[in-house]
Amino acid sequence: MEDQWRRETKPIDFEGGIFMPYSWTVGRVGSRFFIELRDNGRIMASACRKCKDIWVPPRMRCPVCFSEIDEDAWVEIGPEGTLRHYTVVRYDHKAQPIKPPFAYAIIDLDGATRGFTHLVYGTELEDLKSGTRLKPVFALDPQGNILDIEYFTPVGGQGG
Amino acid sequence: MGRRVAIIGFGQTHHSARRWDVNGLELIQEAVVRALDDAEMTLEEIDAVVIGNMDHFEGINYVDTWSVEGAGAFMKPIFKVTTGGTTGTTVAIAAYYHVASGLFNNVMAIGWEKNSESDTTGAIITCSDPVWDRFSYSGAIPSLAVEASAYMREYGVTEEDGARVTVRDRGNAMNNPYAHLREAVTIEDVMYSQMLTEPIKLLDICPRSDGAAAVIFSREDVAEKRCPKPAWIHAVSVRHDTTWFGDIDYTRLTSLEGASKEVFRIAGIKEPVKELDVCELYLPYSFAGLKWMESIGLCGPGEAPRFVADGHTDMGGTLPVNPSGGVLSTNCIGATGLLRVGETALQIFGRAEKRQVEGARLAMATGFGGCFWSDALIVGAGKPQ
Amino acid sequence: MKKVGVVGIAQTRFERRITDRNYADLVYEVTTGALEDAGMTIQQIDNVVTVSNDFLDGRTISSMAVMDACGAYGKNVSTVEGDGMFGVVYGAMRIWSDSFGTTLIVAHSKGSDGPSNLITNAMFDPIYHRPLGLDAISSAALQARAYMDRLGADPEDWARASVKNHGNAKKNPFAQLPLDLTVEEVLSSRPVADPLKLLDCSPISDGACAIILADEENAHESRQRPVWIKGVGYAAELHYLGDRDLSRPIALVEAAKRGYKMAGIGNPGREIDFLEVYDAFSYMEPLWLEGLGFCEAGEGGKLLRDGITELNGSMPVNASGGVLSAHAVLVAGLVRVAEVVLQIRGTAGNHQIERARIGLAHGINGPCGQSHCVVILGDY
Ligand SMILES: [Zn+2]
Repeated sequence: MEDQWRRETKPIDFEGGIFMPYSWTVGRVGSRFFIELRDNGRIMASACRKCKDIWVPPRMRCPVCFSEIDEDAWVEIGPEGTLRHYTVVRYDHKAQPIKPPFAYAIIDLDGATRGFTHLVYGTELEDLKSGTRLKPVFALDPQGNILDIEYFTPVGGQGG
Repeated sequence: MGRRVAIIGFGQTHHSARRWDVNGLELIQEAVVRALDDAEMTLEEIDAVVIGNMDHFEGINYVDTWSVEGAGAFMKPIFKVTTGGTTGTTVAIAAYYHVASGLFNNVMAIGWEKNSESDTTGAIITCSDPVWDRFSYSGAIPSLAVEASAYMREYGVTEEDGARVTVRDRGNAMNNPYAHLREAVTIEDVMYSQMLTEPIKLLDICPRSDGAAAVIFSREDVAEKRCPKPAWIHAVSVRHDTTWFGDIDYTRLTSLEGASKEVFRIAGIKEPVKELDVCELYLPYSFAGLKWMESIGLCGPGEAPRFVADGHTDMGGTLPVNPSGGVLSTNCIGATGLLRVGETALQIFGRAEKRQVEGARLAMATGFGGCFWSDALIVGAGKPQ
Repeated sequence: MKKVGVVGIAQTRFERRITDRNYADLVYEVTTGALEDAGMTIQQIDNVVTVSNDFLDGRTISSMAVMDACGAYGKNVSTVEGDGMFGVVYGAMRIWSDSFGTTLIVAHSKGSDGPSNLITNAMFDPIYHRPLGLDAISSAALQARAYMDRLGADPEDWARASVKNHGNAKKNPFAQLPLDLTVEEVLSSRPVADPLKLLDCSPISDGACAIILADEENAHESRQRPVWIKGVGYAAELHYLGDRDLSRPIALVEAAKRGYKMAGIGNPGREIDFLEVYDAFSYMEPLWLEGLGFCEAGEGGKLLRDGITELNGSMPVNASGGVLSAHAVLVAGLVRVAEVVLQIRGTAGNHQIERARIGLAHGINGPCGQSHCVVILGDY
């Protein structure tokens, strides 16, 4: 009886979701980074004097040795950099800010010792390779967030 | 019980409605640095980390990996435990097992929340089943209100009886420089505050806070060498109830009964009111400070209103409850339970300053969350058996 | 430290979408399955560790949904949010602490219930990285590229991992994707995020797994010969992708070092008979073998080329078909342990390895294997 019922019916899926807006605290350190980016088009990093590491985005404490990094130890880096690794994305989902194909890259911004992860666009993506020189393309209407750099694109290429 | 474990350091942030100056990672760092300072330890000496919070308050998936640089866990073992409101006590209990297992010498327990980043109730209601009861009977306040109503009817308890618990805890918070709400209230203030869900009014319920706590658990020999008065863990216990709010027995808090019985048995406590010197209880709303006292066995059924009104739980009373100001004064949810544990340790250290219970040697901390779940811990100045 | 062994295991069949059971049903299925396997009753279990994730379940306090189903009522219980492997480590710790004698560990996930790209996007920092749209696949692709750029890894070698593991899956009745593939088919499958192709990626899966741990005294109550935990180790490196050298899994090196030390293993290549590693993407198998010390950095591909990791090779890897053949997130780590147990018991059926006395199970948390966990199991 039950088996027959099971065969003849299809289980129900309930379509729902969690819709939760967030207001993430950027904090004192991150805000300075974004305000420099938004108002002055400068990319800032923080230097750990102990490890000699230049971290981007800047940190309040060195992620490795945990010592405090005061704001005098901030340096301007980039804005150009060298492509370390990249991937060309060929599938889409709602969290992506631009339509694929586009690339993600880990970029060694000039002057930093740690990489910066961002988008690469506005070029023949097939021509990208480790070592390609990149420059940022700044948003026309900067908002004080990470997409104030719209994407990076090869130096001397189109875009920008 | 296996190897002896003690708490030797406790750090917490200055809790507030919104810590705009730090992001989540930096908030965690603040508590970690203070715990290290308190234990006079370096980060290198910490050999594992256990962290907890509730995902949907900050919307961060895999908080253990995201928080590595906040927790100072680079190249260290770290994982996350999370059990809703009991997260903080669960983290403490996990840290205890980490050390008791013999795998680690010094373990950092971290609980944190930035409740300002989202709608706390909006997130909590999603703990209920999406198909069956998320629409109808969900979140913290409705079920607590049902519990309070049942208790009030059973024993003829009044709203003023509940209000006394808020008055006590908020008064105690005046002595705690880290507390979020540091403003004493009167019974009238509570009675005239906004009605939320009968009988719960705004001042009957906990706030939502930004904050973090970090507690260092150490092996016996380290604790003895490094801490003048280690806070030894005598017993830990966890009890969860059913999956559905509708299946709960609202006349009793069976999970707290079970967890309390177990910790008292392990710690050899026969008369808790006499033997315990201080309690830090996870009381998220005022009426819990009545009914749950009975569930722990600190007084008989229906006796808690009298017990509280007579001042037994006040500072200087027979058994002071929540010298820190408790959850009614500070509620950064993933940290809340760990704050209870850290505060009991502080009492044993004798470093609780203005909120110190003189000569405190045996303390109880509890956690509450999920679907009427409870955790309990006994912390003491004497070495456990 | 007293001995802790696995005395019961159960897993569901993994499927792209299970429609006739919700995740609590799956938990109930594996809980009763593991008890039956152990020949024990729920009364003989004195504590429970559940493994779940609020994002995957679309539910705050996701463990609440399975408290009934795993028989946790009246017991000491907690929840690890992370790979099932960390649940095993915590479950064992609770016994090593002399607080308990038998731990039930149960993990569930229904990848089909939610949008997996958005869920994995949520593991990145909300301020600096999430707005870029990064997710598990695109970050893994960056790691695969780093492996090529820095160590000269060859995607053709990874394709061999996909061919081998999907082939092994044909012998495992629980696997979701048993496939007959050739290296050419993998290489010419749809590009997803360069250099990863569709067949380099694990599927979305629904399923659950449970295991029961016991100390020596309680293991006698079980009808199974215990498979003992000989060592555990875990560690995490930094989170931001740019802060890491993605081609060098340093956290895995650290985790393995701790696990080997505890297990008294000096030469893993000689002393360990087989592995179940977390190959969420094909390149991970050789990269993790490097991190685990089975070869030098950059030589993982050679192990695949030489057939050493085949089912009948000298160091079989993922005889079960691995994560590439069934990837219920969180559950997959627990399955690695269950599969190692099946092999050591000698009851793995068609995918049984000839010599299986000491096995290593491996799991990961976070993007690109930011946090690693190893558990070494053996028959003595
Ligand atoms: Zn440094």
